[in-house]
Amino acid sequence: MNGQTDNRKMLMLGRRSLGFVALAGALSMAVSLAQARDDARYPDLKGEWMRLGSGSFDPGKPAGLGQKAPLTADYQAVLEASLAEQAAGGQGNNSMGECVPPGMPRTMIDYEGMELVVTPETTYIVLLEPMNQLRRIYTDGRRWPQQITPSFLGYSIGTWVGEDRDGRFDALLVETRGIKGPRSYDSSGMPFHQDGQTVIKERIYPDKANGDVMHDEITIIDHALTRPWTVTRSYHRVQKEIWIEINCAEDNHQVRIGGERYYVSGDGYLMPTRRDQPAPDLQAFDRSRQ
Amino acid sequence: MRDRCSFAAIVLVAALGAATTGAAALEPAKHDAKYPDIGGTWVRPGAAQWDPTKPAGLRQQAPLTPEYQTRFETNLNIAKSGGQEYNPQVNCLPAGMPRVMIAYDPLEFIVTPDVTYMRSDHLAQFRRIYTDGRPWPEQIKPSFVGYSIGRWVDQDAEGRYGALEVETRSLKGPRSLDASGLPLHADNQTIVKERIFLDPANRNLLHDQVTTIDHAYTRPWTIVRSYNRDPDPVWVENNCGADNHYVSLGKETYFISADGYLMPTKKNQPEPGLKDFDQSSK
Repeated sequence: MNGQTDNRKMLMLGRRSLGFVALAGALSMAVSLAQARDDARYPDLKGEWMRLGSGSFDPGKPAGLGQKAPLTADYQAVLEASLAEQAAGGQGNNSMGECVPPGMPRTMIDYEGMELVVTPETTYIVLLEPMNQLRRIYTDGRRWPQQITPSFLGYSIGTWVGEDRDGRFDALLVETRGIKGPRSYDSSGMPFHQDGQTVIKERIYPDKANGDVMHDEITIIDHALTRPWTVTRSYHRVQKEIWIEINCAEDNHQVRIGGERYYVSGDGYLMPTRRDQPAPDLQAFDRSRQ
Repeated sequence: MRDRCSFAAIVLVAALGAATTGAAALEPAKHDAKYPDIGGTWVRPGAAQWDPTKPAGLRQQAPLTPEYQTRFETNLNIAKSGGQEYNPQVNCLPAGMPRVMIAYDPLEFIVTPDVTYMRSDHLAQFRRIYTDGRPWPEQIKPSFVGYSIGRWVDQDAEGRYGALEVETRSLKGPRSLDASGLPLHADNQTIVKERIFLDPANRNLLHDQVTTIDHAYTRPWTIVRSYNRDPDPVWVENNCGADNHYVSLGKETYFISADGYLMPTKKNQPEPGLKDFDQSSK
């Protein structure tokens, strides 16, 4: 703070002695200085971040039932049914197979790398997972809108916080609401409640001992859970970032027709995904011409 | 002494500014007086055909080679019969460059000193236009939006940048210029040059002068697209894969009805082969 005061004093001296030309220059530099002062408050989150640990939602525990998610009995049954269907070759409760985006909080598993772009008003999280999702975390002090159109990523409001009084922000606290489905926590199909009332709270912060490591402490509040569930995911900064384009639709072989999921083979045939699966109904075609 | 002091003060301020340039990369450049205020959200005001000043289809008068003019006319005939096979977007493939600049959904620009980012939520595309002075990489993995290097220019030498000039290379296909199936060459050697600038008379109007250099065209083709600033954007998530009703099987594109039936998109379209299903169990 003293430095800021000194700078202001110095600018005033400059104005007095160098006249209007100097004034213009000083004002211009004041803009730069203000900008730099603001920048220095934010942690350095630039670059590409790749996940540390597994692609299960809680990276510290085994996949599937090993996650020990605090699911209600009803939703534990949904998870078990999903795992059983996957064991039989299906996709279970995992909708990403059909290019449905992972949404929040699954997207923070960080399948393919992510970039954070921090501006004072918004922190953008650019995710390279196959659906190219972009999170906008508003940090401009706005209130919750009265109406939010539900989306897979939801609506996120964040607050930068400094915890050790050094004038710098240490963490971004985020709350996300207005999330729609179908979603699951990870590829096991671990479910959310169908009411779409999930609320997610996050604390995103660089590791104090290693600036190239970032953490996201994620707490999920959902009616399919018996209590809020907190996991921490971590990411490491890639030294030489390489951005690749991934488009789920470019090589998507899963298709849903009616209530059935089918597979499109490399040579363009519709194929069953399980034994004795009924073929799609082709009554809309003029079969007399075939 | 006082003058010396104040001069030293200004030098110090300048030095402080320079020393913090690295950290300044976090700050959006819109707060920097050097950059035009193009950050934020921009909405297409007019038509979605490639050249917005001309009617769609053949009246675009695209300078196509005879071979690609024939392909274009074939595409138009497929469209007339109800087919969409010529339009990769029906399968949720992104528009790519330069078609993404049609701005089917609003565009968002985020300007930083090193990179200008551009987001299109339509089919979820994200452009990174590098303005950090880097040379072209020796190898570039082709992508739908390509690899873009930009340069801020100050044509009036007034100390402020007036335009962002961009060159984009290393594109992949399939791409078309618009929904009519205006083709680009299958060799994917397209180079796109752009000049992105605010209208001098209206700071809430953005222009993108786009020049497409492509072997399907007899000459570089320049058009100008414009966008209105949206000061209060409401972002709507657009996930093609989550609600796509088209499916391509072999060379045919079919439609999946809301009640879950596979349907033809053209008269007398052959039904898809179901050889892998046990038809006897039906």
